[in-house]
Amino acid sequence: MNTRYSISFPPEKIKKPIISELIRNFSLEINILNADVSSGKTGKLVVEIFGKEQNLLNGLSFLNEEGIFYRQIQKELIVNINDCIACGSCTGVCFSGALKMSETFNVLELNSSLCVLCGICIKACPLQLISLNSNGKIV
Amino acid sequence: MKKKTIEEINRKISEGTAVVLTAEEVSLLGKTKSPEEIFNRVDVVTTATFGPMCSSGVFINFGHSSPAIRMEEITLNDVPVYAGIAAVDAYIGATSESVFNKKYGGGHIIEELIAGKEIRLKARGKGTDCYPKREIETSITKDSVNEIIMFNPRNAYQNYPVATNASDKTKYTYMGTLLPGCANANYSTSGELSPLLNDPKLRSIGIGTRIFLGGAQGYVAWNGTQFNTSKPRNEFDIPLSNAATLAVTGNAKEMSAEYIKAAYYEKYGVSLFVGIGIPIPVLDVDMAKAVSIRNEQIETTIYDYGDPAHPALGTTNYAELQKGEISLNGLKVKTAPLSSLKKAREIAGKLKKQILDKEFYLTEPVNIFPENTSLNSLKQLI
Repeated sequence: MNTRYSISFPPEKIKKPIISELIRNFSLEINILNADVSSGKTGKLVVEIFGKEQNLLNGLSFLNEEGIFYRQIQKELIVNINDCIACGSCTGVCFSGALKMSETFNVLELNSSLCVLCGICIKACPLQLISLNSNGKIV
Repeated sequence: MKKKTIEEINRKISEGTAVVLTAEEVSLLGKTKSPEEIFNRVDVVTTATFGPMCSSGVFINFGHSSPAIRMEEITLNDVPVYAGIAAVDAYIGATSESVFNKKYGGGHIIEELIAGKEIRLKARGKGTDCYPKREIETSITKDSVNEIIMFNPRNAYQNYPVATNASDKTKYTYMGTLLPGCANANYSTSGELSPLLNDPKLRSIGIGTRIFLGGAQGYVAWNGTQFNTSKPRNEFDIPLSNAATLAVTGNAKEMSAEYIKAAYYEKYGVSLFVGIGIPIPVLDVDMAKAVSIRNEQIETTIYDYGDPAHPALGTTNYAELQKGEISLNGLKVKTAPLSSLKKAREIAGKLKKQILDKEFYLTEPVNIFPENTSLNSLKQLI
């Protein structure tokens, strides 16, 4: 199974190789979708974790023990498709392939499972129809 | 050479025998039929575009209050509009921005008025003997005001360059978000559906041409601003970058918010999507050839918006652009459109139906556009 999490590191945990430990000790594969880490600051990661359910639960317990805050990202990019005029502007900045025009250019197609929550499309929509809901918001 | 006249075509429309195709349909037909066959078979080709066109706006007359006011400063939902004309006349320019919210502006006011929404009007004047009132705050709708006349000084560009960004910083432009290192390229115009690309020498489009404008019947008022006939052309007479333009006018009260939509481009500002459809009469074999133009034959220039001088980086065509990726000096660049092909198709289809239903007749231009025009630029004194 794979699941997306947003993870916040307190500044003092920055020195600890948390992600590396999750990978080595819990047999999890981790794909970092977004990262904002610098010393003296709360670090933020958006990751996709692949692995067996028990391994994932053990890994999350480890994060708890380490005092690292995480939350599962359930809801994702929201596109108000009813008001979409299918101009296509958002698709030019979407490199994950989540936003694509149909072959005939008549419909904008959203494949949420490919979205890496980079948020560039939000500013690219001239009708301001794209948002990340509060749960998925990169803060 | 065999010819048809607008009069003959209009007679066929009224008799219900006119053959009308959209520009996409005729381009497809052009793959297997010669221009002669297309001339014999087709009378009218409907073209369309639905793209962001900043040089747009409406004249509005609010009606007089009692006592009357000479409005010298006006805002609509806090968007300043041009008040430097008679007492209760104003011009709402699409790109004017709200004093409080840079993402809201004239384009939104125009769309909302057309949609029938209520708009807050605030106006101030110094007070004169004939207009003693100095301030007014009220609400207006399209039904409460006298006229809303759309007048767009520059619409329907004949071709437009592709924008990319070779710099190392993201550029937020009227051509959308351009990522650094030529990571993406944005293009506008509806390619083979686009009005002025189907009549590249502007033989049938001139002053007085009746058009589809924002859902209503409007007219070409004049050549558009920055009208340029001197751009280099390819063997199909297609100018290789932005060339001719149209100034268009129509009754905004009759328009539909389906075909007039406000836009906001990040860190650039407000604009307006305008839906325009133009019927092209197939007057002779040359016109039949022109309307059969296909995306792969419509070339355009790629400009670097990462450099203020916008240097040209290469050329491409609309068939390549619509594939989603172009090759630029060996680099693969992701492409995306800015204008809606879906809406353009809808307009071309609607215009075709209106002609077949005898609701829309073609017009002879009252006057043709100037030839051999080029652009002046602005000199700086210091």
